[in-house]
Amino acid sequence: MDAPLLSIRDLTVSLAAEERRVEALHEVSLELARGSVTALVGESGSGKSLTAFSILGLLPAGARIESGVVMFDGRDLTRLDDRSLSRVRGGEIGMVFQEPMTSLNPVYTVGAQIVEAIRLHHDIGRGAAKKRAIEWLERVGMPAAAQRFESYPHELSGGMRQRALIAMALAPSPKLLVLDEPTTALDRSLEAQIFDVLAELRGSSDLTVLLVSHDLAVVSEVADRLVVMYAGEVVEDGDLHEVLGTPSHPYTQALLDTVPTPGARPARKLGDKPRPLPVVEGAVPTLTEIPPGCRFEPRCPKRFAACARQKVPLVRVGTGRSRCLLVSQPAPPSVKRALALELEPAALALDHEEDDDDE
Amino acid sequence: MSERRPVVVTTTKSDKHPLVRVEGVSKLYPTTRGFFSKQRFTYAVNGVSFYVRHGETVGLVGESGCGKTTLGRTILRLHEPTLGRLEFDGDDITTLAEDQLRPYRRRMQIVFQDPVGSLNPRMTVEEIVGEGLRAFKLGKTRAERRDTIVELLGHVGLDARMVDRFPHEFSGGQRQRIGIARALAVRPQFMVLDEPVSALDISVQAQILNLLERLQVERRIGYLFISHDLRVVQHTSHRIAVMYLGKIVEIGPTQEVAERRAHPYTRALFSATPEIGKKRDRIRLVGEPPTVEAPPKGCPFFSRCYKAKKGKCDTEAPELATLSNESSHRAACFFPEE
Repeated sequence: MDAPLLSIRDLTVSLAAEERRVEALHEVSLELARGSVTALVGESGSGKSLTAFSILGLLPAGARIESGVVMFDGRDLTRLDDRSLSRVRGGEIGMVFQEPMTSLNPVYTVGAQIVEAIRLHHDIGRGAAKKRAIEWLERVGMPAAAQRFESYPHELSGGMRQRALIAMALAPSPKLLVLDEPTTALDRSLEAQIFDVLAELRGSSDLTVLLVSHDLAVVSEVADRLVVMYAGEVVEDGDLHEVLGTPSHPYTQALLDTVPTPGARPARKLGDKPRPLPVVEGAVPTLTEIPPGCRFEPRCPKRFAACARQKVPLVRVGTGRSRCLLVSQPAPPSVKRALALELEPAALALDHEEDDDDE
Repeated sequence: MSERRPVVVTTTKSDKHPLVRVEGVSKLYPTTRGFFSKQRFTYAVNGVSFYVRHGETVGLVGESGCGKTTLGRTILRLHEPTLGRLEFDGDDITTLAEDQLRPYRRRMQIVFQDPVGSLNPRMTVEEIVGEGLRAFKLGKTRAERRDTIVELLGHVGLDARMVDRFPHEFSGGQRQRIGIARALAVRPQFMVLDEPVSALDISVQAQILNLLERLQVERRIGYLFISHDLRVVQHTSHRIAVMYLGKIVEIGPTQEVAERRAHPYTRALFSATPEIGKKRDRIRLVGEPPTVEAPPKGCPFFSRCYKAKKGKCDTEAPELATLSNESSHRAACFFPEE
């Protein structure tokens, strides 16, 4: 098998926080196979965007890579100097961020910006670059591409701007495309158009894509691998359908359960009693109050005594990995009994203390 | 249940009136006018009629720019309606002067999308939640108001000890709970919820949706739930209204709207809603949405509709008409889907 195009190993990134440093990413490892579309999902504070930015060497002020490597096509990007890195960025790695308003320069036409992006990384003439830019605008579904080439960003709608940015990212023929919440600011119909473009590209090139998103439903349309992050760590990954079908981590399960699914409950009638959605209580911990054991333990419906006490390793399971004690070590018998009966194991605290002594 | 004894007694005339009735309401904004050219108007809201009953959630969906937020604020008279009539609990409030409107202001509240920008960072939770109590003179002393505030925090799932803290000390979900407590403090009968969960993480969204539903059932509050997310609206609403270019193009009981999707725009909107593990079998709309500055003469959806017939849809505007005798389900389309 080919070596992965991108391989992040044990990446730890810290941020400056009131006189000390806190870990924002803890030993993040992931691989992108050539030609794959990998979705990186998580809630705010999970570290998903920071992971994407770290690949590109675009860390926010005060952030620092503490350890780890980012191998891209045979080179460790964390060791490149700024000049070499900026050649990779926008050339071999294309990127599109959430805000289509601020990512384009308002004083240049869309076309001029795409031409510049192409000529920065390829030794071709202006005319050829223009031809290529218009071709890309057409491919991403820009209406009247040749005219839009001459437009300024403010003359375009949000959806058109986002398509222009995708054209700009793709025109220099990158090997990897990093998309950070590319459709979050867009309406659903425009979002669907953007994903049509991605699906079309997948069929016609060997582009590798890393798609960062908070929305499982959206990414499940285009991704073939899924990486789930929580509080700065990877908690589960694997083939998309395996993770969605048989999630091994309670957090992944919770994410799947809490999304309102149309038709999951009968339509409301006036005077009905409340019928709550299943919820995970609490919120993602802030970086200064990361729990010492499993980071999801305080909110986990399946936690047992050992979860709060020890770091949980990321272990192989199926086509991917999982960071849960229920996977990595056999649960104490009383916990197994409780889970089988669909009781909450936390309710049996006394019981597992005894079990732990037996181990 | 702790909600048996309301602090403020609000007399509801009867359940015969809907709580809120909106009739033919339009909101126009003047747009650029040259020295010699005619004054032009933008139709942000264009002839909208519907009602909300006590204890009912009407979900208002549509894409950005369709006028749903403007409509919500116009109903509360935070914007003045240009045309049409607003009724609250049977009373015409369309043209009431501010001092006469005051008692109604207490009975109608709003919760905003952005739980950060909508809370004053210099005020404590007590001051934020208590502002309405002071303004409407609910509670005689500060101590009495503080008791009410602490009780309210409990109702929205916040710790009473948080009462002296400032907004920045809270997470997004907690801030939204503060926003809800602020609205609830004055015992409203009607609340406009403007994208109340859109800025929240998925796991926190469910908590807030559950909270809103519980509060509604306990207090029989009517909600206008504005959202771009059909998944959320379908979950939470008794009825759904679909808005396009300033007009309601379809309205009816949630299940009927979701199953029939009579208006082609409703169909397109539903088909673009993602579901976990499913490919969207999407209706591809042609073109970009027209702007409200140049509303088309006929059906607003004409230029993008897959069913549009020239000579009919582009010249005549369809009325919001009932689809059957047995149901309140209505759609504004000459060729509704079956």
